[in-house]
Amino acid sequence: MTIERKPYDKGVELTVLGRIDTVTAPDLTAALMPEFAGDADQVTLNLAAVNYVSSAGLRTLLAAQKESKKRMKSFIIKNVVDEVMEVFSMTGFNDILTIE
Amino acid sequence: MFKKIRSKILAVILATALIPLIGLSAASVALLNGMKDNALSTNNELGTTASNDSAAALTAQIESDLTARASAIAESVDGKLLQIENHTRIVAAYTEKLYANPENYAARPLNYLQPGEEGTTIPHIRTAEGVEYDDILPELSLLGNASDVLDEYLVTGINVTASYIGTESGFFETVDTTASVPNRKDYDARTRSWYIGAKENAGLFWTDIFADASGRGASISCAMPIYGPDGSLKAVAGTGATMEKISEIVNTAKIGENGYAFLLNTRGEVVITPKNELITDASGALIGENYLHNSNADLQALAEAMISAQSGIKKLMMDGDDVFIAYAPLSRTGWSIGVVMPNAEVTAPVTFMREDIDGLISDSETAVNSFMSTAVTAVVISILLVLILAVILSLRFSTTISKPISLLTEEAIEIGKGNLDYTITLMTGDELEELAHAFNIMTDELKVYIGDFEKVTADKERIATELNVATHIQASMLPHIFPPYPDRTEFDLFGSMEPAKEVGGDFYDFFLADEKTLAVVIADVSGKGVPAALFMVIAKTLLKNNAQMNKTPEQVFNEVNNILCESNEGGMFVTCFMGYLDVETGVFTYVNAGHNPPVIKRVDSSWEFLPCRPGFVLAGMEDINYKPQSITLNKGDMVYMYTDGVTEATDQVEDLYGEKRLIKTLNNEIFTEDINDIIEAVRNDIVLFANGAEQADDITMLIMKYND
Repeated sequence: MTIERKPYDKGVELTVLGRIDTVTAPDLTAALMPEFAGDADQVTLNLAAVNYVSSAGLRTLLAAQKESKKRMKSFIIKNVVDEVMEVFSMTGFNDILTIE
Repeated sequence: MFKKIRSKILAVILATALIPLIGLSAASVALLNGMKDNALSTNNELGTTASNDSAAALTAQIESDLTARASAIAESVDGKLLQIENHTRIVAAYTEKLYANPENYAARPLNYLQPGEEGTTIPHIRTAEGVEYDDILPELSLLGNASDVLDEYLVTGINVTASYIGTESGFFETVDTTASVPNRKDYDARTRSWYIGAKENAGLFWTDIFADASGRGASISCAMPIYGPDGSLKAVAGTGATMEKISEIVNTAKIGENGYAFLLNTRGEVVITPKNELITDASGALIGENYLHNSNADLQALAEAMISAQSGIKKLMMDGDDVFIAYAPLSRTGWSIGVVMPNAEVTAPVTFMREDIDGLISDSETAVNSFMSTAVTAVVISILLVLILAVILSLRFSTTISKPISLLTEEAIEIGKGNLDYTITLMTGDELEELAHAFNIMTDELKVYIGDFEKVTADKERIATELNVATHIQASMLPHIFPPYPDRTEFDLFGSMEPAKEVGGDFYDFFLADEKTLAVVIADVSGKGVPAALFMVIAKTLLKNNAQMNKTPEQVFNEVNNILCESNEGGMFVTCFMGYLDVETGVFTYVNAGHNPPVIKRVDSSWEFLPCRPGFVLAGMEDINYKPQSITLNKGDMVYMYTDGVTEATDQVEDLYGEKRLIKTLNNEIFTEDINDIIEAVRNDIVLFANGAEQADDITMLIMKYND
């Protein structure tokens, strides 16, 4: 898994490439969490190139969601592929995450 | 190692020292050789040029010398002949005066020995046979006046043997050096060759060389006719001389070491030579080897040139010798003088000089060679010295380098044996000392590291042991005795959990919430390891406790979710499916907290997903209001519950096992009666699919069948 960081006018977009599983989820956590402590109002996670999210990945997204609420920032997930969307639907994550 | 280093150092030192030295030496030797060759060839060239030039110069010199000698000898001989000729002319002139004016001279009768008289008179008188003394007395008395003139030859100092006058009247008056010559009456001068020659020649006449009648050796005569006033021939004056003086001039001429002179007469005969004896022919003439008729063409040509009164020099082969012959004519007699000089003698100085030069060249070559060998010896000795020096130096060097290395090697071996207290002290002051220092530091660090490592290993082993125990504990917490309720025939249950590596977060559970309600639970705690396992224990306990407090499934979830959220510092969550089966009515009421929807098999149809409202995961967020769903099961219907360890099992290329393959596998087992077989079939198919890929997640399955 690789993560590419790109700022835009309202905030910062992280583009993830690869699987988010038990092994890679800690890396995503490490990359994602500090963004909410930064200046960006908006943190966007681009999952166009992610075709698998394990429960560890879900935990990272949940933690990010909670952190964004605490910091009054918006956390947007976009370009979710079908396989991952299925996981989000099944686990009810689609109800609590902001998915575009 | 020691030997290799020593060899390398030796090689480096040798190469450094010897290669330039050998190169320099080779260049020097080559240079010397070149110089030597150059010097020798130059010397040789100089020698040859000098020899040739000298030979040419010497030859020219000798030629000119020889020619001069020939002329000188010719002149000398000519001088002698001139004296004879002059005397002859004086006698003839005087006698002619007597004939011209007889009245002016008193009669001076000459003695004439009568037959039978003994003794000698000076001058002598001889008469031809038939001539009477009285008949010739007046003429004899007149010519007696010539006696003193005839006698003049004595003062000339030439080898005149006789001076004489022969008359037409038949007598012969002579003054002879031999006093014992008797007067004779049998001598007719008019028949002698000198008389005939002068008479015919009507002038001065030289005879050939002949043997003297009185035995005095080779002789020659010069004759001059005497005419009377009327022009008639009256007499002939003659002078005879031996060739002694002339022969002496010719024969004693010193021509180099082996050269000689010779005299060639008008017929091309060698008449005077120190080489050969002359012979006398029938007429008394002396003859020698005739060059004009010689088989040697060069000698013929020489003779022709000589009798033609030419002078010059020729180089030719004579009697097998290469000789120079210079020649010059006499101005009288028509003779010619030849001077012979062997070429070997002419060029001898050149040969000597050449030998000298060759000797010098050879000497210089010897000197150069000796110098060269000295130089080469010096080079070889230098190379040997450098060699010895290099070996000594390299031994010294290698010892100073290799000894510390040997010590270090010992230390390394000691360390290898595990003796970490071994230290080494080197005071070489170079990199080796640093290396030794580094070795010591390494040993110390190894000591610390090995200590740490032992501790960590012990810790790890302890943890692993404990985790292993935890895994067993976790497994034992799940109901694992089947059939669980042997006396309850309304339902069958079978469950299994295979942890991935260590303790995991999956669990299943079933219990009787009340007498007629069977509760089934399957859940997956996010993450793995001890935290997940502990969270699982909490979740499992809370669920069971709440379910047995007469609460509906959704009430249980609502309650448990909030409790879990309260103490969820780790941000964990649980996906969970829980259903209540009313064993009497078959109504199956269930709630889902983000878990994989179970699969249901109605008796009269195939396996299909149970319609599930996806609720949010447990422990994710507080105050979630879970919604229940329910269906009514018929007898024989089965519900198969599982975790994502089933559908997300991966093969070697990380493809997912997937829900479609799960349904297909389940449908292949439609006709089986034993629910154990269904779980076994799915597990086998997963193993088949994984094809050796490592199991990444817990694989947990629970199947429930509602019975008749």
